[in-house]
Amino acid sequence: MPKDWIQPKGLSKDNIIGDIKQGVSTRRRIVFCEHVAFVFQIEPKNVNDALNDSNWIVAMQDELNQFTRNYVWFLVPKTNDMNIIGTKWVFRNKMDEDGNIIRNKARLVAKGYNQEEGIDFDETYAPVVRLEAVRLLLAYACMCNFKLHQMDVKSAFLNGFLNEEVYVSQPLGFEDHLYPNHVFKLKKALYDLKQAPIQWYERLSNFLLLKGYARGAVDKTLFIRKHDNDVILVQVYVDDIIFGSNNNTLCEEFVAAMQGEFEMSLMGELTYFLGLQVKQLKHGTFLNQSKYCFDLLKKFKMEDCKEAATPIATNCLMDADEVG
Amino acid sequence: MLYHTASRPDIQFGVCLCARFQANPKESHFKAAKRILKYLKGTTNVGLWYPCDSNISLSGFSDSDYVGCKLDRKNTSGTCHLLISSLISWNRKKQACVALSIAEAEYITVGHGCAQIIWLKHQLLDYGVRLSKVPLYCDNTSAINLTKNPIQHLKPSI
Repeated sequence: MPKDWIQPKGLSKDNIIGDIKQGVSTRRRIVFCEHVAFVFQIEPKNVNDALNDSNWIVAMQDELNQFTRNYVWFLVPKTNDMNIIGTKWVFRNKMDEDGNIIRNKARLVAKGYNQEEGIDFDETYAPVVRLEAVRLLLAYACMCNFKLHQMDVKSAFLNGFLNEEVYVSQPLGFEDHLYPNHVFKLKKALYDLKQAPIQWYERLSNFLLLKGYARGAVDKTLFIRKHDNDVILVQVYVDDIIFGSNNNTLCEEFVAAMQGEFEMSLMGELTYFLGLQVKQLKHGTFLNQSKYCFDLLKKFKMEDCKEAATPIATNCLMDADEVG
Repeated sequence: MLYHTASRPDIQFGVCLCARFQANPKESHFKAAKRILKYLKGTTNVGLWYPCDSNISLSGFSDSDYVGCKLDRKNTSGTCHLLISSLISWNRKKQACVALSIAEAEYITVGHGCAQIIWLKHQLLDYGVRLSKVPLYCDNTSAINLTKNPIQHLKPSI
């Protein structure tokens, strides 16, 4: 405690929140502290642990609200011929670039491994983009001098419609009081259902095709729309979407259309995509993976190792090394 | 580590070489893998640079070694593709069959490179860019002659 601190009358020391030794704190700092106070630091292992903490309950409630908002499911009475798939909570702390925990995230997933082929799902495949295609797009955008933007669909898989009848049990800890024996019939896909990725892809591609976009001839994750001399290119990687156009109005139209159809987040210029850090500068685009590289070195505890000039010895050809 | 090659063609060869021994790793392989990490430590800020340029052209390069793998005497081929001066696609692969001569090894590599060029051309066509001729460079005269005049296919080793 500072020496010159005088205790005011009628104020006991116990009522002071925080540490008075710390001195004056700026507003920004306080905001940060408050925020940290509302997120729980440890990821709970199971649902019972999570139910003891209000922050996680809020996170779980958030997830369920999203289901209701998206009309994912509705309650139906249980019958014997249903193959009911269990559900499970997954808890993750989301961190920012400096490793501070910014959000508690709870996600309800289906136990997709209990699904039976032919009954619960047919197709499971979903196309993903080749890295060459991403680089080609980056290089092309750079040459044509347009900026690429990215966005992210919130809970993308919850948007895919299901063709099959799938029933899941009620989530642990959030059973309906009135109908405890009912099960949920899914209208849309849930995370970890086997068909979730393809259903999402179908939904997105149908939507874009309806809007006048054409699918790429060789790359099924590329969507193009031509308008006189202007063209908009949309590259889809599951729920990450990068797009760019030489005409800004086309971009705006695309964003507006997407926002009208799906819940979107993370709009902005392309900076970080699939672990690639992208810097779009005036004279070109720079692509590197330094963050991934640091994480890699950290994982193998080699942050302080000596540096080598070349990645591999020039004189040795590796063999099976039977003795070593 | 394999994913790191997304922006780092320089470590691709080393990483893939180590990856071959993953099923039966020994100390020497571990050392090689560590060396790649050490190299990464010194070059964390290196990446790819795509400069702005207006006229689009695509070119491909291919090369191959001869008996790069002592165990099964297969060759390793490498190809890369540049859109003007930006490197967009590269690939290195141990060939699936044993080549009898350098010319044959190079010929196989050119085949790989050609397939990739066709894919890239189609992709660019989707973007609205039509390329008529794409040069593919190869550093072996016999292999080049072989593509021009495909005779004696069974005996390219003369």
